[in-house]
Amino acid sequence: MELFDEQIEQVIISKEYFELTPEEKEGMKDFISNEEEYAQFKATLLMASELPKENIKPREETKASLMSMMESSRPERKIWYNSIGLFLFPEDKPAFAKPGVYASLAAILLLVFFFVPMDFGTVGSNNDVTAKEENRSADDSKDMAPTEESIVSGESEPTAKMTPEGGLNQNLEIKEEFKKTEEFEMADNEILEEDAGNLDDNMAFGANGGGEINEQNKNVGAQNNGTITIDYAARMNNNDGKKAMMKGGAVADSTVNNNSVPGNFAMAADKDVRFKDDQKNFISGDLKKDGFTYEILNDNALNQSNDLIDLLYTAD
Amino acid sequence: MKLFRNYKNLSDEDLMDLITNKDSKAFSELYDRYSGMMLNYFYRMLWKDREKAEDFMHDIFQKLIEKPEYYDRNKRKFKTWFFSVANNMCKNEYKKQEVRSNTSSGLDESYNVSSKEEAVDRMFDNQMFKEKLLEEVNKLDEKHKEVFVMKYIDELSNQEIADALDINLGTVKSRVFNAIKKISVNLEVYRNELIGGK
Repeated sequence: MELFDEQIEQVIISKEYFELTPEEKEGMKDFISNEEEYAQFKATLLMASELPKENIKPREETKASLMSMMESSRPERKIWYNSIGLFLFPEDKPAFAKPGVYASLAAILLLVFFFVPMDFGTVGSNNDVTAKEENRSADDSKDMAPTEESIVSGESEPTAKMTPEGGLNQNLEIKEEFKKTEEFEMADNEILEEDAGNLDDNMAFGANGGGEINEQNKNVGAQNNGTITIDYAARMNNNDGKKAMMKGGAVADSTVNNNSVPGNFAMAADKDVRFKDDQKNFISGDLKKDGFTYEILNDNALNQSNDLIDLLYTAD
Repeated sequence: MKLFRNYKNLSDEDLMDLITNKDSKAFSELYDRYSGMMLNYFYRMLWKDREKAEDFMHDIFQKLIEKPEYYDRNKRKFKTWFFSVANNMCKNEYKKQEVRSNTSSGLDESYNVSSKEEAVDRMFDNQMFKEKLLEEVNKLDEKHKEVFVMKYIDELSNQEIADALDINLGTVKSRVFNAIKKISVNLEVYRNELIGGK
């Protein structure tokens, strides 16, 4: 038995019954027995092929609904930094309570700390210097022209002699470049006898105490024509020559104080200290009998010592 | 590697692979290809109930989203597989309706047969003849109807129908013949007018 396939359909659609070949009639005899039946088939097949293929269109909302379903069926992408973000910036907390805000502030502070240049130490020291300069200037107005001062001299190092005419007076005009420079320190080590009273002396002071003190001592040296004390002043005051000269070697040198007079004794014990009374006479004792080393004998001398210190401190 | 994939050039089977990987654009393309076809299939198979056809069309694509792995491209073409799913949905619906009709009057307006007088009045109207044909199609039993609709409306080949319905090719040919024969007999009253009008 032949089957009703597409080939037979095409023959029925394309041909009238009388056009069929004997072979075609033989091939479809199991389905169509006569012309009437052939005509029924032909009509139905023709109409079926003309049936509307798509009558209705899907609604737009159907696709929208399915697409949203498709989107929601996607597995959520779990990205590690999403969880970090949620931890740092939780949605249920106010801004000030979010860890991320604090982390950001900390990061900014770190950036400022590392990348913005700041030198607090320099600023502080500059302030000190400025304050001292201001004090000194104020004192300068009180005592602008010291004529004679005590001289603190060294203990064991060879001392430089200063003539009455004293070269130190010439050094009143100490150059600014000697102040606070490495040259000062170099000069401290290289001081020579022949340099005493000269610029080098001042440099030596400068190394231990700064330019201001140099000038002070320079004045002192010039006025008193004493044994050079510059280098020793620095040494006996344990690398703080400035302090020794300015605020009293007595304090710094208390360890070598063998006398009953505190404070200023250091200056006496370390030889070469001369104080003057109000009449500008030396009042301290000559401990070593060398004409330069004196012991402070009374309170007046002590006061004078203080005056000396102040003078040293303020003299320019 | 192309940055932008042209989905329109992809086969149905390739689109299904992408849909399995949750590619929404692939789904959109497949929907555009088959939504109309499926809607009309359901519309014709389910008593021209537009709402029901929309619901069924929605459901079949929803199945595609939820269980795309059910399709195996190595076993059959997507089109035939998709029609087989649609056909099964229709069968299930027929069963439901059968249960309901047993508990109701069993009357269905869509199955009304026009009287001969009415038919004669419209015999010169070709469009009405087509409607009559569709009515006759709807009167067919389930297995003949599905074959007829797939073949002459959805334009599937006999082999595709066989694949979709999971029956052999001979059965498809036999059902097609029987469906045409039944319709032809019922439309005999119009035949002479149609042939005469041609």
